[in-house]
Amino acid sequence: MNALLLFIIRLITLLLLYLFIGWIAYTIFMDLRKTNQPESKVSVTPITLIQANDDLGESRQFVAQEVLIGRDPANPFYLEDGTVSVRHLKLTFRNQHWWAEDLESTNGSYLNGDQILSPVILTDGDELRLGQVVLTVRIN
Amino acid sequence: MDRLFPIREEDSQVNKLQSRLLVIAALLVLALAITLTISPAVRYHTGGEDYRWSHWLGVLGWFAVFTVLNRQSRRKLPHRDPYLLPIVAALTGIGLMMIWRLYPDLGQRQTIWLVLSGGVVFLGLAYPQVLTYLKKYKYIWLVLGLILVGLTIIFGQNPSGSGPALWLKIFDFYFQPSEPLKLLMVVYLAGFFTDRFILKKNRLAPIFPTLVVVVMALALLISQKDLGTAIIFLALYLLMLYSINGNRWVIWATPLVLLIAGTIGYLFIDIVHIRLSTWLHPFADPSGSSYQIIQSMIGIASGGTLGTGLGMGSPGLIPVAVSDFIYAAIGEELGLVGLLVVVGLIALLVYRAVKIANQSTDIFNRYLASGIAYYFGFQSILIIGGNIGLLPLTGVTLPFISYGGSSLLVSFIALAILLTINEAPQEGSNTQPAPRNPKTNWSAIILVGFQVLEFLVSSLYGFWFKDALIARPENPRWAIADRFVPLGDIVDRNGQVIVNSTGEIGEITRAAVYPALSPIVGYTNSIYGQTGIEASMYPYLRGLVAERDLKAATLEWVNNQPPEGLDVRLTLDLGIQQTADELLGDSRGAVVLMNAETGEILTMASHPYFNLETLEEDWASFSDEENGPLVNRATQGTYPIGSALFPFLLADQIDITSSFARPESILPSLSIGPQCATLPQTLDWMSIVTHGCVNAQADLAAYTGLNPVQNLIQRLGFYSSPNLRLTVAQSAQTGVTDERAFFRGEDLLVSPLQLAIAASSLSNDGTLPAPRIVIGYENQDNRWVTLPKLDSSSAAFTADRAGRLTTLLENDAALQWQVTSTTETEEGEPVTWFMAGSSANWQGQPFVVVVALEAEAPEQAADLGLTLLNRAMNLTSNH
Repeated sequence: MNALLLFIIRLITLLLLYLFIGWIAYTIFMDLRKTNQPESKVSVTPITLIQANDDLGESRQFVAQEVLIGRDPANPFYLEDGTVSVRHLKLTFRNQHWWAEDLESTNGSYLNGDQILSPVILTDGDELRLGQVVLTVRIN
Repeated sequence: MDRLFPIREEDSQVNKLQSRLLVIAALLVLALAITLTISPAVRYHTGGEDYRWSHWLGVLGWFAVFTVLNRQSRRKLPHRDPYLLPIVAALTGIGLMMIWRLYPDLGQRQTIWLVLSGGVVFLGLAYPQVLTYLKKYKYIWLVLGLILVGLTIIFGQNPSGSGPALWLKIFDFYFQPSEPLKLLMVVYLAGFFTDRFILKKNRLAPIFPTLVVVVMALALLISQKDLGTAIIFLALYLLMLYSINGNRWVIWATPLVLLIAGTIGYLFIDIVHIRLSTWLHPFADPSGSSYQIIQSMIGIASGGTLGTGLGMGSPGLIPVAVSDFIYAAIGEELGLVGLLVVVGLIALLVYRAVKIANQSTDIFNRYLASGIAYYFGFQSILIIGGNIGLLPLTGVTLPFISYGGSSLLVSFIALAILLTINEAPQEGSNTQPAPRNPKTNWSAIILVGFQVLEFLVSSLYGFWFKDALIARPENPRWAIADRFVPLGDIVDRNGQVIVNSTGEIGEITRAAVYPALSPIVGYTNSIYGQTGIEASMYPYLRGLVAERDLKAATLEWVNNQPPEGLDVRLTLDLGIQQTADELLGDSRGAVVLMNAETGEILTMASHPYFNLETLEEDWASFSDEENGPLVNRATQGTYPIGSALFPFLLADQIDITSSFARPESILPSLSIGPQCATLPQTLDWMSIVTHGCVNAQADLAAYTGLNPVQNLIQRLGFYSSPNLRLTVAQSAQTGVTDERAFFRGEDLLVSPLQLAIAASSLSNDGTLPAPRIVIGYENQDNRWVTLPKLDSSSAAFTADRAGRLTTLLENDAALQWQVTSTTETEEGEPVTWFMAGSSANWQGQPFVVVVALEAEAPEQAADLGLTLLNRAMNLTSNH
């Protein structure tokens, strides 16, 4: 009697173990699928940012839909400058245009000398200033 | 359940998911606890009186902690990660039940620590701003941690009384400061790198301050011999450096640093030397330095796929199963499926921590979360790898599972940090999640990949090498099984019991009903192993050869016990055996009485003998003696044959007895003066053989020639070992150094059994019978099944020669022949042989008897031998 009970409970334990881990795996999987789905492929016009302040003059091209600029090295484009905020400026490609949006940075962002207060459209040859760092924009 | 872990319609997805998962975890803990309650009753095959209840205190503690934390997290952190708490709950539950199962005392302590840790998390969730204090005063925390570890140099203790003194005793609780130091190191590194995160590639200058701190901490830990923690430190530092700095050189430098550290440790630190050599040669010293790791592997193997069930295995055999080797203990009782869940949950924990790191907007929080992910991941890898021999063994804990209060508390604090961090991003509405850091992901993938590898290696033990590992001599589980299910009885040919199993279930032992047969029957002992019939017939006595019926299958699958033993019947006749043992008394020697035709051994005695009940107490004195009571003299003892070779030589040359009526005409020594074991009345052929005149034998051998004599010895089987279900002595060497000594029988060593088989050929028409000691076994249907002999019979003489010889030697009244011989061993110890048998004129079953005494006692030997032979011959004639 005890033996049979024990055997059944062992099987239940096994089921519970796998129900538990299976449920976690399932919800995580569903979660991942949900976050991945709305991302539809949009062709992005490449944008090139040229850093003018530095002696070396770093230049990088991006084709992502969104480019974050800031002091955090985790940003796709990061700047080692004390006047640049951790997450300073966001570039997004929407409606066939590149938009620049300030992320409430401490020292502000400027497009051709004017402070960016709301999202603005960038064009080829524009000059962006983040704190004291100046970037030249090349589109195409 | 709904009251404990409430799920409301209006709850958010996060709350619902967390509560649901916690309900499953709770059911899991309950199922484990019920298993643990019932298991003793199943092992002992009894009713409810053996139920185990104490661990329900642990269940209570578990429920208290996780219901409260569930509510607290719902109230304080609506956007937390919903998986963390259930994963930790499941891991803690499995660990806690395992600890209670192994050592209820430690289970009690661990429950107290769990409640304490739960309380700390409760407070931590109530005041999430603690996180900023962590960041702000990181140097102070670190220095505090280092000071605490430093204190162990002076005030350190070890709870077990010996070993590295890594603990501080606070009231009645031991605390290991190196555990919080790991977390404080992660906090410090995260804080430091946040402040100076502008690390240009190839610029090393900014990391020097961290290097100094890390080296200081390492030196402290190494001087305290806490190497596991030191390795974790090093790995955490390198992993964090890599994921923050992203420099590839860190990846290349890691193995190099470990190699250098390992070499230095191997050369200069004893314990590292032992651990590393054990790791490199795991099977080199199975009873010494690699005892732990082999027991751990055997534990995983004996669990197999499904495990024995909680409380049904013997994980207590693995040293320190409760902390260092809890992975192996889980492997034994929950099987590979249980291990897969444990590894899977730890991997998920690492995954969620990395996800939290990726989602975090605050750099400090991100580094902190990834550091905690590495901390959980790497520490698990290190100890699991140590458990399965993949990595050198380091005494660290398996997070949330192993016994260890400090480790549990620190792991729970890390959990609280992760829960709090994940809450942070939702606070500011316009901040966006930072992009994922591929370096963090890579580090996590490597860690999880290694865990998967470790599980695969574990499954090799539990599946592929299962049988080989279980069969290893270091595995004492068979002896434990024998205490729970009785072995079969060993009975004589008439069914009288020689050895049986007695005692309560769980305490069953072997008992010798007839102790004088102990050297022949042997012993089965958990410490000393098995010998004799107990060893050779173990598969039958244990019932392993039986056809598996439902009962056996139930025993195996439900009770984790072997089938019931089968009785084994021997050829021995306890009636004659008793006479032999009485007459042999205190003399050292052996007796073999054998049916010359069938080879069945009716009596086999070896004195002195041992007592099974006092075997363990007497063991020390036995093992000092080379020829102690443990030796079966009848099969393993060898003595110079002396003039016992005479009748065989004469049977080979039987024609000369008719050609030369007077032996001295061709045996010249007889005229000089016969050297005989007993005094012959006359010097005719019969007398000189019967009385064992050794110089006459030597003359006859010389007359025969060396090669024919050796050929005869070969045919008599003295150059080969008899094959029966007992350990036998190595056969005699064929080389001859001194021909005269050889002919006098001084160089030819034979066992009483060998001589009895050879003597049988004289009474059995020249044919050597194959010996038999085991008749068969009684199967489950109570039918006796006869086992085949292991040898076949062979011819030594023609029936005519054998018949003529026994007729020549025959004592008219009794239809028997007999030979006495006295000789000396190489060391000068006296040996007396007596050999007798029925003659060709005897109409019943032919019998032979051989007596060997380690003394000069021809009369005693003859009296003993003839008494037994007469009893055997009367036995068959009466029937």
